[in-house]
Order: sequence, then structure tokens, then C-alpha cells
Amino acid sequence: MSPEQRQRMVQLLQVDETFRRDYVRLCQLSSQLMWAAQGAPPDLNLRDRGIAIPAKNAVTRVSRRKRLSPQRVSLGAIVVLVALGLAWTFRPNRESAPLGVVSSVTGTVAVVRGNQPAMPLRADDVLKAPLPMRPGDQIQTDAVGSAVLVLADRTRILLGPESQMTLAARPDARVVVSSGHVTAQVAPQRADAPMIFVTPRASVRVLGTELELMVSKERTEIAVTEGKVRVTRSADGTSAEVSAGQFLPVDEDESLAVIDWPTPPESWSEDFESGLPPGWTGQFVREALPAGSRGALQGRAIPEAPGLRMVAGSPLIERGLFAWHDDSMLHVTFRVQPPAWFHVCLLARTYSRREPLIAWCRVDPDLWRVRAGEWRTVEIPLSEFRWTGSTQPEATLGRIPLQLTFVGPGDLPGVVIDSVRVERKGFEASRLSDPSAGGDPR
Amino acid sequence: MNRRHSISTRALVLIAGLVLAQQPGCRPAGQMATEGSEAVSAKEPESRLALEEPVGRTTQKVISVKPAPDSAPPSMRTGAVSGPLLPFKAIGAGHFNGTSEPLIPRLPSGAVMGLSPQRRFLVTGETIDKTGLVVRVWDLSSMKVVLERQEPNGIEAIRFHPHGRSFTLDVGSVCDSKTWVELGAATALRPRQTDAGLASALAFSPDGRRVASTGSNQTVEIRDVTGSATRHSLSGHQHPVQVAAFSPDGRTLITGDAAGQLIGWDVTTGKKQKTWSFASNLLAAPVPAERHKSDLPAGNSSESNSTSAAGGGPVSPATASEREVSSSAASGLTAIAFSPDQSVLAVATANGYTQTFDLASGAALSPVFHQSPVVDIAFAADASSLLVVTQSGTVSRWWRAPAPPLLLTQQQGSVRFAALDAAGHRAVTGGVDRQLKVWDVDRQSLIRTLDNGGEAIATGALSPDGRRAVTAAYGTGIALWDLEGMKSLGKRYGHQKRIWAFAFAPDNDTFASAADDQTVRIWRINSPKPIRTIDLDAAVRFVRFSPDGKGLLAATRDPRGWQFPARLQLWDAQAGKPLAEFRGHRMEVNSAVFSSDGKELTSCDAEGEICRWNAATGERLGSRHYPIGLSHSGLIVRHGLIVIRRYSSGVLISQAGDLTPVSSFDVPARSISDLNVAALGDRVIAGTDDGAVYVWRLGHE
Repeated sequence: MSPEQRQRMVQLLQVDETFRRDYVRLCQLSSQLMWAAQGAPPDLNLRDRGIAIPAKNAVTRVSRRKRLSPQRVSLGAIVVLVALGLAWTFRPNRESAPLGVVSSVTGTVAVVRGNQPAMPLRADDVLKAPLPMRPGDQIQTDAVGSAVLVLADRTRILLGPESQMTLAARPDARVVVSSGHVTAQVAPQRADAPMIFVTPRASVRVLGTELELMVSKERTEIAVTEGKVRVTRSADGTSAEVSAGQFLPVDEDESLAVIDWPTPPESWSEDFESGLPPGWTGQFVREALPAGSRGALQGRAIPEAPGLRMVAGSPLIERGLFAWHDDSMLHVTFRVQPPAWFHVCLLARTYSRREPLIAWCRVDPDLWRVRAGEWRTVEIPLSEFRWTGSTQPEATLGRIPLQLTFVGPGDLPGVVIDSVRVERKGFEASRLSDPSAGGDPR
Repeated sequence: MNRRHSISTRALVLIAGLVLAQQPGCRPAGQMATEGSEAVSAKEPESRLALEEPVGRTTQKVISVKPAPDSAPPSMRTGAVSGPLLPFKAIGAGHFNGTSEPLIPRLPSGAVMGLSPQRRFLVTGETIDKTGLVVRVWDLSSMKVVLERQEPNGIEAIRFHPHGRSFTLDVGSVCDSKTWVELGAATALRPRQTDAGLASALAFSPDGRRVASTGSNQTVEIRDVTGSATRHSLSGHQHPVQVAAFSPDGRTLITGDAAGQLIGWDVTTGKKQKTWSFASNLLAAPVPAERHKSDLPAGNSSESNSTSAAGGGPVSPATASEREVSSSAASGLTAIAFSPDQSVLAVATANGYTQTFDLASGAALSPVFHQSPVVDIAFAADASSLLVVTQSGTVSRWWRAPAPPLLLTQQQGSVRFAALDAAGHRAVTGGVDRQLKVWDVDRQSLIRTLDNGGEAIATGALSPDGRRAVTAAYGTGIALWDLEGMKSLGKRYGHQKRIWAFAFAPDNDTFASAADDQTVRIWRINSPKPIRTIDLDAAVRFVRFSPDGKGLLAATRDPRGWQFPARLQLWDAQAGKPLAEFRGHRMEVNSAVFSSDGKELTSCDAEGEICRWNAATGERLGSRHYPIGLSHSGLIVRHGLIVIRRYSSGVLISQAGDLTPVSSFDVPARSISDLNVAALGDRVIAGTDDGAVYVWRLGHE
């Protein structure tokens, strides 16, 4: 049994009660057959159990013909049949070669294959052995789940929370997104065989680009980060081209109107070496810095903002501080003097709304449990930032960070930031070049 | 000046009669006055204000005020004021990094301070002009000034006698002038030559019979106060010894040196018991920016060293050579103190930190940065807080806090509902992410996510056994959940307006809902309709069952808002009739909790008042006021502690019996949106507006 077959079998044993029962029956039959062929198992300790065992010389040797009674032969036949059934179940499917692999998952993610029950995927299992995806396989995520798929052509698809996506082998629909949020970096395609994402409202034809999709029954939103795509509305066949830095909502009735959104740089940094940059909030400090540093930023109390009591942060930049990608990393070098603590917050806008209205924060007590006075650098993936707010924001595409702040208690200004920078790890660097992460599924 | 002088004099007369006394004079450098057997019986008449009598080159004034002896019994005379101990271990390890509160108004730069050895009094000296200063004595239990006196000259240091009933104001330079101030009955002093050179660390044993001192070298001497012989000469430090303190039982002496090494000595044998290495990075941490020369007192920091030594007696003013040693001490430790039960040791540093240590394990607990060099520290008598005096003129109380919490989750959006089962093993959370999540607290893992049908969860309750939950969004529907089968049991309707609160009865099957429609409805899990409806006269915002399930507490909201008092009533849950009403709150009651026997209840309101009531009669038994609003109370049964949310992100833990505060700390979030306890499991859960859910484990699990 190949590792893939073994993994599939374990998954079926975990989720399919019927399969589990049949498997147990097979094992029982197999044991009985073995006993029938070899006599009683040697380690039963029958004497200890009070079962009388005939004297050695009283043992009657059973002839081979007698041991293979018709009943036992039928048992053997059943076992063989079940084994054949299992082999059929796990036979190599030459017609449906894997289209790609699920290379990593977080939260609750399940794969549905055919009529079988949904198989939950565990992050550890997927990291050890990326799960091959075959035509027709559907992947689902819950509210805290996400999954990364790497297709055979190195196209990488990040499936966000509460999403559902099916891989299809049809030339007119390679990926069917039923709902949720998808970010895809599509490898260059042949002109006659483009990558086509199909949603309930539209189809998106891609020759090689990076894009985001947000799909619901009523609406599909497409945002292009790099390159160009053609979007066709399913209802009436109207289409529009969407280029990098553009955003297109597709509804049932409204005309297709492409919206421009700013494209901030992929990288951004501030090291406070030359003093407090214009517009920044906080105090510039020159003392007790890490080696090689000439300046740092210390928080200061903001009495007029009782909710956000200690604030140090950047000015609000309308064009965006940096591009938000889930695989971008925020690097912060800081010192915390306990019991001070801080959250890292990003005030962001969406593609369709200009006003900053959403704060995404990173809250992690481990950040603050440092040794007093010790400088520390952490890398926080932007995917780990969580929306904070008391009301559910409008479901729409896009996060453009306009302002970065460090928020903490105002009476404990013991947080000093020496440098902060954002860099994108990149699909190739992060996943595709790593053979252990699934790389080329072929 | 004269007017101030007369005012302060009248204050002294009002507080107590003043007694003048004449005391022995100045000691040369290196001499140390001790409380000895050779007492001079110099009782002074009680009508004179002051008497100055030059002795040698020293001018001494002796002032006395009654009644104010630092009257701790000998057994308690180390590092803490006498008093009953609170359930110290109930809160957990000795983290003193909770909420801080200033005890006195911040003093100006250059002020001098001293704590009495038993930590009952704090003496402050503030410069009021170029030539004079005002000296105040604060009673730390009431934080009131019990003595105020104007001095014509600046002072360099305030030094208490080990018996705590008198202190000196060291004026001018070397042994130039000294003022003795007596707080209680005059006790004779007689100087005794001990060390040659500066006594840089001093500690008196709790029974007052022994004194540990060290000079500028690395050796510590333990002497009998009554005799002249050295009992032990302790060698082991590699750096100058800066601080010393006897344990409350008097058996152990802990000394600390400039490199941060702490050594525990057996007082009887003089042998080394244990060695701790104070966190070197803490001492290496940058000196606070405030610690510049301009911030230092007129002299130097010698007063911080002398007064910080536990039981720092009236050592002589610093000489030039002494000042050199003192300046070196400014880079190390400044004070140490034992907790009253001897389980925690607190250490203070010149670069602005305090750090507590678990004395049993030696483990370093939470450090706290104070923005300024720490002059002195002392535990409160009940071990609930640590008093910290800094050189920048702050005297603050740092409350105890439990060990750092677990972060159960950080989810999208605000968490509006977070609850634990009675044992504290299972948690349920919900919020604007429209999910009900079930958690295994022990493993910090998510058991199951249940979809709430696209509705946010605004409030809820979990049954004591953790098998059932009820939640509501912002409307009138009640969602029921089977947490054994991990499935929804559908919704129930009956309320006409928004539901604000739920409560489960002890039978795990009956629950009550409170709503804006001025009703409380009582339901059973399997019944589609409420089994009883209780009509009230205003919107109901809080409801809770009594421990036997027969009583139901309900709090209403005045139509004008939470700033106005409404009603808190106890109802018969079966008959639907009122049993008692609790009158006295001046604002809306946000929460209340029954004692474990159901005979008393404790309520808290939006104004910040906690009241204790007789549950049967409605009689008010006591109250305590806090400056900010309180809500979300819960009872930790085993330790008899009440846990209350303090606006907006604070948690307050009080004794259920007399409402004495035990712990106060802040959640690292903008605001706590829900706070609950595991009554039998010693755990506290808080859901925050930031989407984080924290779980604290009280006590030593």
C-alpha cells in the first residue's frame, strides 16, 4: 500500500463508520482463517484459563484435507473478496491523475471526494504528506480554517475561511469556487488553455497573474494584484478586463464597473535612525538601544483616546503603507519592560471603501513575556492578524493597511520599538521551492 | 514660613499631644544606634513643642506624636504590617504585577522618603523653597497625614530607628545637624560602635535581638544587639553587599550584592542555605531616563540605601567615602522584603525594577518596571499588594495578580460570551463571528465549532455541568445547544424585546432569561414554552439563580439609564413571587452573586460600589466603594473569593466575607466584554473586545 493509500485508509477509518465496520470484520476473518490454517494461537494460555488441554500424546494430528473444510474455504473466499474490494477502492486511478496537492491547512478543513463523507485534514498530516487532489475533489473550510493548494503547474491557491472550492478538469472550468475567499497566484498558462475560475456569478479567465476572489451567491468580487484577467458574467455574458490595481464587483443586475484601488509597495520599513519620522506618534529615544541602532520609538499616553491608551505609530497614509498579502511578514524589533504589553494594529481600508474602518490586530501574550530589557525581533505573518470590532464588517475584498500602531496601556509606557518592516515572503520562496511542502505534485 | 509652621503645629496638637525629648547626640561615621538594654529613661514633659540642645556639633530636636507607635508584635516585625493574612495561595504565585495605584500625590523631584521598618508609616520630605521643607508622616493603612512639620533646612535623608517609633532627619552634611522625631512613646537610644566605615546594609531580626550589617566590604556581620560580640561573620558574596533582610520567622537572613546575587543564611549556624542569582538582564537593563542628576536629591542617593535596608536604623550621615560606595550601590539592588508568609521575596533595583521570587522554588516571577529607581519596597500586611517607593517621588501599591493567563483563542471580532463549566475544564465562547465554540481548557484546544445560523452571539450561559448552553443574539430568540451531541437544539421564542442575560439553575436543565420586555422567563431545555414568566416593572438586565435553585435574583434598569438606581429583587422561582428587595445602590446593579450557602449575596453596581446583603431579609451587611464601575461577578467557592469585572479591562478579586480586596489586575485588552468563573474549578475566563479569550488559573493547580 502506497503512503497515499495508507493515508486515505486511515482517513476513511476515522470518518466512515461502514468502512470501519467492514475493516474490522476483515481483520476478524483474517485471524480466523489464520487460526484455522495453523491451529490454536500459541499464546492463549489455555491452561491458565482452566481449559483442559489433552496430553501431548493424545493430540490427534488433523489432516490437511480436514482443516480446509468447506466452511473455512468460504471464509477464505470472503477475505479474498474483501481484500479485492479494498484493493479496488485504493486502486491507482490512471484516468484521474492528481491535479495538485493540499500543502498546508490551518483550522478545520475537509475534503469531499465523490459520495464519501467529508474527510477532515489535520495540519500535521498534511505537512508530512501533502494530500493529492483529484478531479472533482472539493475542499471546504470553516470559520477559522484555511488551506493552501499547489496545482501541478505551480499555481498556488489560498482558500480562506468559510470557503468551498472544487477542482475540475474541464477546459472551461479548472477551479469552481462556490463560496468564500480565494487568493491565487496563477502560473503562466498557455493561451489556448487558460486557468478559469468559475463562480455562481462569473467566470474569470487568467493567463498568469495574481488575483483575489470573494464569492457569495449574490455577488462575486475580483481584485487583481498582478497582470490582467477577463471576467465574464454568467447571467448575460458581458465581460470586462481587470488589471493590476483594479477591482470588479459582479452582481446580477448592475453593470460591470471596474474600480481602481491604490497599489502600495510590497515592502515597507522604518528604523527610526534619523529621528521620529514626520507624522509618527510617540517619543523618539536615543538611549539604551540595541547594538548598531541610533534611535527608537517609544509609546506615549494619549489621554484623548481612552480606549487606546498608549499609542506609537505611523501616520495615516491614504495610498496605503504596504500591500497586504497573507504571506507577507511583519518584522518588529522591540523591548518590553514588564508589565507593559502591546498589540500591533493595522488600520485598513477595503478595495471598495476609502475610509479606514477596520482594525486588524495581533494579540499574543507571548510577545510580552520577554525578559525585562531584552531586545527581541518577531516575525508575524499578516495572515495572523485578526479583525477586531464589535460589529461584523461588510464582506468585501481587500485590505490596504493605512496605518500601523502599537497599542497598550497608557500608564505603562514601557514599550520601545527599534524597527519595523514588512516584507513579502513570496509564493516561490515560501512554498514552491520547498520540496517538503509539496512542490511539484507530479 | 511662620504661618506654615503654626499650621503644622496646630495639626500636631490636634492629632496628639506633643512630647519633647532630649536624645543622645550625634554619632561619628560608622556608628549605629541600636535598640538596646542600656536605655536612657528620658521621658519628656508633654506640653513643650520642641527643645533644642546642642550636643557636640549636632543640634537635635525631638518631637513626639501620640498615638502612633509602630506597634507590630515582635513576631510580625519584618517587612510587613501586622494583620491577618488573606488567602494568599488562592491567587497563585507571587506575581505583584497587577493594577497599580498611587498611595500619595506624586512628590516633587528631590523629595526624600522613608518607610518605617514595620511599614506602617511613610515619611516624606518635600522642599518648599530653597531653604526649607515640609515633612509629613503618612499612616499607610489610612493614607492620611498624621504628622506634618516644617523644617527650616533641607534634609538629606530620613532614617527610622528599628523599633519604628522614631526617625531622624539628617540635615546638612556630615553629622552637622540631626532632628529626631518620635512617633510614639520615647524610647531611649544609645549609640554603639559596630562597623568602622559605612554600614551599607542593615537588618534587624524580627525579635529585635540581632542585627545584620555590612560595611563596604563583602562580609556580613550578625551581632547580638544586647551584647557586643559578633555571632557570625558571613562570607560568600563576591561583590559589595547592598541589602539584607531577616525572614519573618527570624531563622533566615537574605543578603544581596551589587551583582544581583542573593544568599540565604541560616541565622543560627551562619551557614549558607541557598543562593539565587537575580536576573542579570534586569540589572543590566537601561537605567530609567529619569535617573539623571537633576532628579536626584540634593545630596545623593545614600538615603535610598540606608532607608531601604530592612530596619534601616539611624545610621550616621554619609561621608565622602560613603557616598562613593553609595553611588556604586545605585547600580545594583536597593531593597528586599519578605512576604508575610515567607513564600515570596521581593527585590528592588536602582534601575527601576522590582522582581518577586518564589522562595520555595527560587523561580523568578513577574518583574515590574517603575520608570524610576526604586527606593524602598514593603509587602502589605495581608500580602495582597507590594508598596513601592521610587526616587521620582511616587509611592504606589502594586496589587497581586494570578500567573499569566492562557490565551484560549484570538478570533475575528469581539467575543461577547465566554463561560466555563463549574469544574473549569470546558469553555464556551461566542461573539460577532457567529460561531459557538467549545474548548478544552486543559489542552487549550478547540473541541468543536457550531454555526449560529448567521447570527452573532451577544449573550449566553453555560450549564454547570457544561453539557448545555443557551445563547441569544440581539433579538428575542433563544438558541439552545446540546454540547454532548455538539448540535443545536433549535430556538425558543417568547420574549417581546431584546434578551440581555441568562442563568442556569443548579439542575442543569432549568434556565432563566431576562429581557427588555420587563419579564424574566423560566424555561426547561426540552420545553418549547417558558414554564413561568415573572413580570417586573422595568427592563431586566441581570438574572441569577440561588444555589438551591429556588430563588431567582433579578436586576432591572431605570428607564432614564444606568446612572439611576433600579431594583434588585429576589424572587421565588417556583411561585413567581418576590421574596426580598435589596435597596441601597445608587446606580444600576450590574451583577450579583450568592454565597455558597445562599444566605448572603454580594452585588456590584455601575458606580463602583459592592454591597453585601442578607439574602433572606434584604439587610445590608457591608459595602465597599471603588472609583469605577463594576459588573460580571462570580464566586470561587473553594477560596471564598468574588471575582468582578472592573471597567473597562480590569479584574478585581475580593474576599467574599468582608469584601477585602485580594487582587486586582488588568486584562491586556481594550475592554472585557464578558467575565465568568468556574465556581468549583478556581478558573476565570474573560472574553475581550479584541477577540481574545483569556483563562486564568487561580491557586496552585
